[in-house]
Amino acid sequence: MTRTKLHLVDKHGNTISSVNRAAAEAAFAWAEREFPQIDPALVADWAEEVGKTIETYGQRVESPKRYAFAALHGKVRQWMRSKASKEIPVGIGVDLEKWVGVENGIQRMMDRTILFNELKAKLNERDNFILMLLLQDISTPAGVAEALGVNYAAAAQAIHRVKNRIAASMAQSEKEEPESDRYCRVKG
Amino acid sequence: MDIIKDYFLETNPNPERKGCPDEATLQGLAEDRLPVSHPARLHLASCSECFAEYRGYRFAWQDAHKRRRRLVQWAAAAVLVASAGAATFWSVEHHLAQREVQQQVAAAVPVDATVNLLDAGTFRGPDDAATPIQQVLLPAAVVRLSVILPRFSQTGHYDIRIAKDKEASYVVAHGEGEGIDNAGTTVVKVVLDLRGAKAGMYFLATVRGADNGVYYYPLKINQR
Repeated sequence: MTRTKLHLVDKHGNTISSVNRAAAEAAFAWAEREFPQIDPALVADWAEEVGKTIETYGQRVESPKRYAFAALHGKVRQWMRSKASKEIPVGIGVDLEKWVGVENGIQRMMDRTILFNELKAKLNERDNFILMLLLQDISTPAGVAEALGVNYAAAAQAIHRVKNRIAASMAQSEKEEPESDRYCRVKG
Repeated sequence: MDIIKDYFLETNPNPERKGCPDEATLQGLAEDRLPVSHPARLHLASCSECFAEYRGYRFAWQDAHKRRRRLVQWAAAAVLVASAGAATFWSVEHHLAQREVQQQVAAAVPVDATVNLLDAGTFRGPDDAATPIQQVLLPAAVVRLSVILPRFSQTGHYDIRIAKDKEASYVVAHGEGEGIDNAGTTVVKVVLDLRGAKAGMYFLATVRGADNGVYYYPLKINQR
């Protein structure tokens, strides 16, 4: 049995229905595990908000669980985007150093976005499918062969090719990162 | 694989959920209930929302699986401990029962014993307790007893009793036999089952059938 971490009430302060509660809690459990870098209290806030919204919409929500996952995922993504582009008014000295820390975060985020774009451009649909199979713990050539409807050797070769492509993209990304001047150049 | 996971979670937004499989299918994929070649697996590679949902179901399933495994391990441990306890209990019980059986078998084998009352000082009736007594010893077993009656005892039918007191209110065992003259002495042979008698002091009583005269002799029964 999981420990209750959420205070799930509707806008009038009444406890929400058990179905909606289960949906919000499932989505929260997923987000908490999927994005450990985000403060759990923040995720809990969002999950409570999602629970409240589902309760408000009531019958109009066809699948509370599906809604909860999508809504919470949206909030996480929005937070990741807005956090990266947050503007902080700073002076010089210590403030500036702090700001540099934030700047690194932004750069990492942008590098990540570029990496994802590169991967999207380089990987075809079949490569994506193979990667998805690996993420589903179908990692043997035999499993991939069955899923793709090809023979063992072809599956093994396809896995190898996908790994090489990813490695190449990531190596390129890491090579550019240390003194990256893609976004700004600091002089002086 | 974390970066790849993030790649799929971020790069294929599908807010309108176009072409998405239903919840049950995603759950089936997450719980490995659907075949590897199921077409919905391909969809996961192009829909971040479905992939997120799939991951949620997968985590829940893995957690439940772990909990079940832990429960099974605990149950197995409990069964093991209970079995060990039962085995120990059975072993001890079996050992004790076996010993008891051995004792019973040993006690069931008749033991020959002779009580010689030829020169015994006797006392007649319940009140005559002051007379010096001669103690007789018998085992708590089936006893094939030969009683040599006191001098000048008459032949005839006798009842030999082992009683807790002289009033014979609690007779432990008794046997009847004929008093036969044997070279000037009268001997009565009876079989007494003393297995139920606890070790301690008793009285051996000889009751002659003809005149119902009762004589008491102190007796001690020993545990075998």
